[in-house]
Parts: sequence; structure tokens; C-alpha cells
Amino acid sequence: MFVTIDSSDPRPLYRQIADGIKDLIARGELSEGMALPGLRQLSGDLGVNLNTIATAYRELQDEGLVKIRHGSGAVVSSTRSHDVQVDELRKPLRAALTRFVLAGATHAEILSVVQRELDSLDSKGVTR
Amino acid sequence: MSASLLSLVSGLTIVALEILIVWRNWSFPLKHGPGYFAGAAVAEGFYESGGRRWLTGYRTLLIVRWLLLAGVVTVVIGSGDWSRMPVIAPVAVVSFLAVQLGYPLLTRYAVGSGRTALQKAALPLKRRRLGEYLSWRSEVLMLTVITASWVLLLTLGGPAVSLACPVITTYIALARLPGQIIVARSGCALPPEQTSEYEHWMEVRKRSSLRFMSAMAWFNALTLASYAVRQSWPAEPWVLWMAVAAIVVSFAVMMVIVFRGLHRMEEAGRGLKPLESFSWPFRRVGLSGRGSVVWAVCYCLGLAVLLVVFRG
Repeated sequence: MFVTIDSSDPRPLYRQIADGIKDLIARGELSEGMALPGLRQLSGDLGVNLNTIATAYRELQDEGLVKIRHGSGAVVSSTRSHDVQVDELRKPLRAALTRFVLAGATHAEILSVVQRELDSLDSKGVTR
Repeated sequence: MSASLLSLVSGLTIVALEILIVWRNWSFPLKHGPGYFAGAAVAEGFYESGGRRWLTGYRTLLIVRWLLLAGVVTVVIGSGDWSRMPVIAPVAVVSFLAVQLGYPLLTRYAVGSGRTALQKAALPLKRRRLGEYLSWRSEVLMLTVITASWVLLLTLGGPAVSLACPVITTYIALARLPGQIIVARSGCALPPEQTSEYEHWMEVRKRSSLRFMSAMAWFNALTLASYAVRQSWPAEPWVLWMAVAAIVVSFAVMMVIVFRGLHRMEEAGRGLKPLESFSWPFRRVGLSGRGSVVWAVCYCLGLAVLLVVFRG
């Protein structure tokens, strides 16, 4: 199980890591109770500052997806984000859709991409 | 069979087994194909220019290492002092580390023609636990063997006991544990293509290194035990047999582990580019991190100091 980090991605590194883990949780590849590597392991493997990983984990913890235990790493505590408002989720969706439009994608193409992504989540049986 | 004949047979067995190392590793720098030398990507035409010199240098070192080991065995056997046999252990270990790890590291920086820059990297999310890589039962057993050997030496050893062998073999066996812990904990991000294959290769490399380190430690622990038993009951003929058998068998097992590890690594890495030939924005990709290099340097320095202190 891997999280792919892209140096040309405009998102900061901590966000790429947090989003990657969220993606794995959403796809059902990381289930409740599964242990995640400690901060030292991830920062050492990637060759980045410990704080970068800590920030990513904190974000996951704030959303209720991960529980951080001092000395024993992090554990997936839930497969559903807590306290996330639909309006809050709409912003990144709108930003992504805007980028599609600016890139010249047609309405049908955008819908097809969204449908494919949803189908991919459905195939894992994780959407309701 | 007399003690001198036994030491001759065991010495020759070790030297013969070491020939297998020379044979097995003769083309080690070429194992990734003509575009690489010891894992480092090299420019086209490298083997038509300076490459041959580097390869000859490596092969010369392999032969020099074997000659050094054979020389030490000859001196030990020639001296007629069987108790000096354990000197072979540190010589074999240090020279092996220098040739098989030190030389590729040196060439990587000297002849590498630039790494393949990766824009993306896959970060493994599997948590590494020490218990999955190290056997604590084996460590406790080894510590028990070493402690019992020292107790025997100090209580029954008599005035003829030399501290050189016990101290050096104990050091080799015990000071390798921090290195094993560092290797067990080490890891790195992987190339985004064929990630699972690279992960498997890294795992095989790591486990092979750890098995070799354990075998090396056991070889030294059993060498110490055989020395202690021999010094405690010098008149018993069965003791001599047992002691020599322990050294030769543990050495042979260590060699089998080395060969199996090399074979497994070759199998797992088939068709993959060497990890050492990649670079990417965050850190160099590779198994040997700063910690393991620092440990290896300290370990060899400590051993060198002991060899100087006990040179008599």
C-alpha cells in the first residue's frame, strides 16, 4: 500500500500525504484499526522534516480518521470523516471543476471523469 | 587426528570456501547490465574506456582479499598455535565489508554519470516492526552462549588464556546488533513504476543483509565458545573436535546464507533498475541511509582499535 508523492503537484507535501491516506481509506484499502507508520519512519523514508508528516497526521486526526498514539504511531480510527460540512467539501470540488473547464474539458467529459471516479469507489463497496 | 592436522584441515576448508566468494562475486559490478557499474548508471562507452580499469580494480581487490585471508590462515597454521585460529573471523568480516560494501560505494560516486531524476515517488505505508526482522530469542541465546563462554574462560581458563580472541569475537557478535536494528528500521520511498516489485526487492535485500549479519555474529559467538571450551579442557580430544567442528560448520552456514542471499537478491531484482541509480527531489533513494553508514564506520573503527590493541 503506497501513497504517491509528486514534486510537480502544486499541493504542499503534507496535503499530498494526507490526501493519499484519505484516498486509501475511502477505497477501503485502509480499514478501521489498521496501523499506520510512525512519524519517524515516514519522514525518514521520504527524507523530509518530521513536522511535514506530523502536520499530515494532525489533519487526519482533526477529521477523525486517525488516532495518534504517542510512542506507538497512528491507527485508522474511522473510515468516515467527522464534522465535515458539505459546503466545505464543495470548495475543492468547485476548484477542481474550474480547472477542468479552464483546461478545455467539455461538460460530458467532466461528468464522465466524475462518474469513473465514483465507480472506482463503488467497486470497492465503500460508498453508500 | 592431531591438533595441527585438524587446524590445517579447518583452515584449508575456510580458504576453499572463500574461493567460492571470489567466483560468485567476480562479475558483481556488471550484474545490472552494460549501462551500470556496481549499481551506478554509467555513460555509454564506459566499458571501452575507464570501465575496464574499474572492473580490474574490483577483481584485484577480490583476489587481494582472498590472498590476505589465505595468508592469515597460513600464518596461524604455520605458528602451530591453534588458539590463534579465531583471528580469521575479524579478518574475513572486515575485508568482506570493505570489498563488497565499501568499493561499490566508492565507485558509485566516482563513475556514476548522473541519476535518473524521479518526479514522483511511492511512499510505503506498511509499519515496520523490529520483531518482524529480528529474532529476540536468537539474540538471548547468543548472549547466553557468549556469557557462558566468558564464565568458562574466567573460571577454568587457566593462565594461558589470551584475551584477544574473546574480546574481538565478543565485539563482532554484539556490536553488530545496533547495525541490525538500523538496517531493520531503514527504508525509503520507491519509484512509482513497478512499485510492488521494488518493494519486494528492497525487502529481500534487507532480510538477506540481516540474515548475513546474524550468521556473522553466530560464527563469532561459536568461535568464542569453542575457544573457551578448548581452553577450559585442553587435554580432552573430543573438545578439540567439537571446537573445530563449531568453527567450520558455522563458517559454512554463513557462506550458505551469503550465497542464498545473493541468489534471492538477483532473482528479486531481475529486470529492475538499481535503486542507487535514481534521485528525486526529497532524498536519494537507497537502502543504506546515513545511520547505517555511521554504524559501519564506527564498527570497523572499533574493530581496528581492538586489532591494534591486541596485535601481540
